[in-house]
Formats: sequence, structure tokens, C-alpha cells
Amino acid sequence: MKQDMAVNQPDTEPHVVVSRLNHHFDLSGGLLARALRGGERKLLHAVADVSFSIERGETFALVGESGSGKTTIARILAGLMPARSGEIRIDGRPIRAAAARDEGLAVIQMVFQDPYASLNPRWRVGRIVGEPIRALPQTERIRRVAELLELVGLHALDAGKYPHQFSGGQRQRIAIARSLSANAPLLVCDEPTSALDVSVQAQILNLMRELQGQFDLTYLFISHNLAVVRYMATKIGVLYLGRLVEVAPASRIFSAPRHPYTQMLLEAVPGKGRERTSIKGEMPSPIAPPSGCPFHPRCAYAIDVCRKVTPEFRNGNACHRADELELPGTAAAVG
Amino acid sequence: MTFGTAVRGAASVSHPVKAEGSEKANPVLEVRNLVVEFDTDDGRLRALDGVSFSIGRGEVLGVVGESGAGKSLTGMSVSRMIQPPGHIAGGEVLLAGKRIDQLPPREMRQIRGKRIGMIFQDPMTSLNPLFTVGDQLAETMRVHLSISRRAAWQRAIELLDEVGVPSPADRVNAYPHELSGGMRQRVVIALAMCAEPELIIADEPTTALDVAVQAQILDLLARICDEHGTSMMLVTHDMGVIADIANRVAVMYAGRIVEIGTCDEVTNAASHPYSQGLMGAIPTLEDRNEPLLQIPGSMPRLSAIPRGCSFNPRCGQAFQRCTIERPSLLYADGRQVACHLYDSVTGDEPT
Ligand SMILES: Nc1ncnc2c1ncn2[C@@H]1O[C@H](COP(=O)(O)OP(=O)(O)OP(=O)(O)O)[C@@H](O)[C@H]1O
Ligand SMILES: Nc1ncnc2c1ncn2[C@@H]1O[C@H](COP(=O)(O)OP(=O)(O)OP(=O)(O)O)[C@@H](O)[C@H]1O
Ligand SMILES: [Mg+2]
Ligand SMILES: [Mg+2]
Repeated sequence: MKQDMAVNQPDTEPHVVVSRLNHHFDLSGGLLARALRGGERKLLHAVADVSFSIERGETFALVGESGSGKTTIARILAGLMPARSGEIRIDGRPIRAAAARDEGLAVIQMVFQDPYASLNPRWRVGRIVGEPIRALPQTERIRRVAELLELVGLHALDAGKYPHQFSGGQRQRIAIARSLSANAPLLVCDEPTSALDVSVQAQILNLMRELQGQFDLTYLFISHNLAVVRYMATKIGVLYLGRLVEVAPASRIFSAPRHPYTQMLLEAVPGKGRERTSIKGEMPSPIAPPSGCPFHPRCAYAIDVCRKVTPEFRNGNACHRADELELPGTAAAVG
Repeated sequence: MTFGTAVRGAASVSHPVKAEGSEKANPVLEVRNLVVEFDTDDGRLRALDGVSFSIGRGEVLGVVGESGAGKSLTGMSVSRMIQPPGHIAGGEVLLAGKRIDQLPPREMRQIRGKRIGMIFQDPMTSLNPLFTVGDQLAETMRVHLSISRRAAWQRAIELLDEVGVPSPADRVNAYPHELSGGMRQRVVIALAMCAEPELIIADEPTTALDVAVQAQILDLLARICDEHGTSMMLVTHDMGVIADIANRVAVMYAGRIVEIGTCDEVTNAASHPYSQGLMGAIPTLEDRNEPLLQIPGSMPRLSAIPRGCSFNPRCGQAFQRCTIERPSLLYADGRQVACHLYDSVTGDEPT
């Protein structure tokens, strides 16, 4: 497989650059309903001013509690929905998020959590895997599909079967084969193994790492399981209420978190068998986020300024007290 | 195995519930040779095949294994909640030394709720959407304990407080749908413990919850078992959860227990090739470069359980005996393992 997209791209900026992405959902039920009720517009800011970049061959993981905005970012990046504002550039070329699908070869492909729902049950596997390259001549397409199926550990003859004839893990392999078929350099993977058994999860994660090494693939990887993220990610972005609160190399996030929310997430990972001190409360409603730093009501280190001023994202984190706090990482629990 | 270091390293600040092992002499729960079968169009399928284990007072037994291994069925057989066409086809279940597997349904209903509390993955399995939290707690207490309406209501508020529901005096009047998922699971825990049961069966109690809430619920369960001396059978997919609060672990495969040992033994130095594979397949928080272990193939369907050891087609260490004779759960080095590699009687030395 060739990385067509890579040809004659200058090395001036990272492979993927996301700048100031914003997205809100309008929950007020349209103009008419609002006029009738006379109410205010009720907006849910699912993604607020999110910027990050990913180098080629890297795995950038997004982590955060349920509702923090991970899937929304993934869907925008994969061109499945438009953002309200912001820009995405691949190899320096701006992509109109919504238009990515129409550009012949899709730039970004997506692997979803649910391998049952994401494959069309009425299509044969060959058609599913070949869908992104349907423009190719048939013989070439069939050859390529066979090649891809073998690559992900299935059999070329599986192209003639339907999704229901496969197990969950095998279906996820089919989804991965499909996402690879268009030579997309960036794969967006939203909880790709959450629906799978641990033994199958190991097969899929190993396969994804193998393919990455082989084809220099870039992953945006989403998982709520921090151990899985530890195994896959080179860089991690921590989301809270739609905002990035910390971005750092994976090893640094785990050894020396700099945002109290990151520390809380690390402490929440079961298996350490110790009293957890910093875990408080649940995520507030994204419709009426707290004033100041959105994390302050749950933060053990909050001071006055945290309640009043929203911290800016600077030097890899958004915490007023990042420089003075020395937060423990998971390394402390090891040996 | 690298899994354990992260766990054991924190031993000095270990959770209180991890304190002591089982009281072998008077187990709260004893299951002997349990067999559960389903009558289906394809004939009679054996879903549990000779399951035996015990849980001591105040002990937490974790039950792990791949999907379909029989974890939930084991819990449901103990509480006799198996629905037709499934039925218990053999074996014994003893609660505090007395058989309960043959009690009439009426008496069994008395035991459920009073002596055995249940917690499921979906809190709405246990909650009635039409009644307030307080009504449900008070009603359960009045069925099982001789207690006045007033006292039950008062106790309901105390219980909500104990399981960490904020402003319990208000929340006692809330309907389940008015609470978040984490709060609902806390109410279910309050329901499960309101009659002070000897045993709690928790089937994936934190699987549906967010990480931070999961951590809070685990702390709560650990605290309850510790403070009330309640025993618990904890079914989960998550080895982290096991390492966090279980004393011992049972590993299930295709309807049988293949290994039981202390949490430390099983997570750090599993004996059975299946347990070894399972532990090695799970990512940990440690930095590692080598790939995760992969167990080839998948668990057999109930209609096609292989002859001999049911794991033998996937096992890298299988030899001829494994394809012929089913290994039984035997003691080896203080733990129980069902594997011919550890059956010293025949002279086959462990490798
Ligand atoms: N179509 C929609 N309409 C209204 N609100 C939505 C919609 N999709 C998502 N949201 C809201 O946007 C926020 C972010 O949701 P998103 O699905 O991106 O979170 P997530 O981080 O992927 O969570 P999870 O871990 O549960 O998958 C949530 O508050 C969610 O309720
Ligand atoms: N009504 C039924 N008819 C036939 N077989 C059944 C029925 N209910 C359960 N089984 C079988 O019993 C076996 C054990 O199921 P059980 O629910 O105990 O698995 P489990 O270990 O809890 O799995 P999971 O992790 O997916 O919850 C499975 O092979 C399942 O297919
Ligand atoms: Mg999501
Ligand atoms: Mg189950």
C-alpha cells in the first residue's frame, strides 16, 4: 500500500493541524418553538476552542469522561458533520470538513465502536470493504479487497459473506480493512475495542499497531480505558466539558500530569487498590458550565481565581496553578 | 507478567477490604458441582458444568472470563433467578451451611433481598420507575425486617447518606429517572444492603459507569464489605476492578472454573494457560513495547465444546491427554487449577 497523500508534501507543519474547533448543539428546538415559548436559545457547547496537531505515524489519543466531546471531534474530523467554526489542515491543505467524503479518495477514515451497527447488514463484505474505492475498475477493486482482508487476518473468500456471519472481533477487522482501502493516511478510531472481549481487544490493538508500523499510519484514537490508551498513544489530549485541559506526550501524562483533572482520571483507574483522594462529584451539565475554570467545583486545588477566570490553554495545559502544583502520576504506584 | 507491579506496589496503602483471606471452615456461600442446562431446539446444552467454589465471611470473590463463560449464570444460579429453558440440573448451593437450591420459590424469595443482595450492570433492573427511592427502600426493609414505617423511612435516609447520595433527605423523595446513572447505582447498592445481607452478588456493577463514578462505586462496595462483614461475588470483565477489591479470583472458561487463587496469584502468576493468556492480553498502565499476548481462536459454542479440556484447541501447551480427558479442579501450590500440566498424580510435571 502506498501513502499517496504523502507525495511531495513539504515538511513545514505537522501532518494534521486542528485549530480552534468549535461546535455546539442547539437544544432550544428551533426558531418557532423558541418564539412560542419566548425562551432563550439553549446551546450545548460540545467542543470549545479545541486545537491540537498530530505528526505523521503518531497516535493521538483523546480521553475524558462521557460527554466530554470526544466523539463530536472525531465525527467532525472524519467529515461526518460540519463544525460551527474552526479549521482542519492535512499536510498544510485546508479541508472543508464536510467535503472530505466527496474528494474521491477520502482523506480520513473512521472506525467506530460498534462493529455491528457500522457495517451495512445487506451488503457483502467485499462491497463494504471496497466502498471507499468504488471508483476503481472492478478487477483491481476485487484484488485490492482480497489483499486487505488477508492483511487484517481474514480470508480473501470472506468477501462473499455477510457481516452477520462474523464475530464482533472479525467485524471490527472488516471495518479496519474498509478504512484502509482508500489509503487514507489518517484513521479516526472511536472506541474501536470497547465492545469487544479482552482477548479479541488484544488482537485488534496488536493489529492496529502492526499496520501503523507497516504503513506509517496516523491515528486519532479514542478510548475511555486509560490502559488501552497507554498501550496505543504517543500523545494524549485530555478533554473536559468540550475543552482541552492538557496535551502532552503519553509517557509524561502518566508520569507527571499537570492538570488536576488529568490526575483525577489517572486516580480513577481501578487496580491500584488504594484510597482515592482526589475524585469528587460528577461532570456538571454542559448546558450551564461553571464559571471560571470549568473543573473548579470538583478540583481539590481550586483557589479564588479558578472560580472567576477561565484559564487559557498555554504550554500544554489550561490550569491557573499548573506551575506551582506537583501532581502525582501513576509512576508513584509502580514498585 | 507485568500487570501486578502496579497493583502490588501500592500494598502499603492497600484497601481495607483486601485485609484477610477466607475462613475456610465456615464459608458464607458454598457451591458444589453446580450444573446448569438449557433445553433448546438443538438439544440440551450444558452452560455450567460442575462449578465449585466457596466464599468466606467478608470475602470478595472476583469472577472473570470471556463473554459467555458462564459468569452471570453462576450468580443467577446462586440466587435461583435462572429463567426457563435454563434450569439447575445438578449440584448443591449452601448458604451459611444450609442448602438453598431446593427451597420452594416462596422461601427463596425471602432469602433474596434479605440474605442475598443483588446488584446488576443496569440499575433499572432493580429499580421501579414508578416509585420514589425512599418508597422502594422502606418497602424492602418492611418486607424483610420487623420495622415500623417511620423507622424504615428514617433508615432509608441514613442509607442514602451512607452510600454517598448528596442531600439524602431530599433525594429520598426522588424518582429513579431524576437521578444520574451513578446515583441510581448507589441507590441499588443501598437497596441490596438495606436488610444487611450476608452475601452480595454484583454482576458488572460498574461497567455502565464513567471512570470517576466507577472509582467511587468501587470504594463504596469495598467499604461496605469491610464495615459490615458482607461477602461478595463480583462478576466483571475488568481485571483492574478485581485487583482493586477482590481477595480471591475465579477464572471461568466455557462453563467451568479453570483456576481459583488469591488475587495476587492469579493476576501476577497465573497457572492455567487460559488465565495466563487472559492476563497477558490486558493492557496495563505501564509503559510497554512488546505486543499484548493473544489467545488464538475463540471460546467454543455450548453445542461444540471440545472433548477433553475445553481449552485444548487454543492452548499452546496441550498434549495428548488434554484432548481425551477433562481435567478437574485440583489443588496445586495452595491454589486450585484444572489443568493436566499440574496434575502430579500422573507424573506430568508442570513446565
Ligand atoms: N446530536 C446531538 N444533539 C445534542 N447534543 C449532543 C448531540 N451529540 C452529542 N451531544 C452532546 O454533546 C456532548 C459531547 O458528546 P460526545 O458524544 O462528543 O461525548 P463523548 O466524549 O464521545 O462521550 P462518550 O464517552 O459517552 O462517548 C454531550 O454533552 C452530548 O450529550
Ligand atoms: N436462554 C438461553 N438459552 C441458551 N443458552 C443461554 C441462554 N442464556 C445464556 N445462555 C448461554 O449460557 C452461557 C453463559 O452465559 P452467561 O450469561 O453466564 O455468560 P457471561 O460469562 O456472564 O458472559 P458476559 O460477559 O457476556 O456477560 C453462554 O454461552 C450463553 O450463550
Ligand atoms: Mg463517544
Ligand atoms: Mg454476564
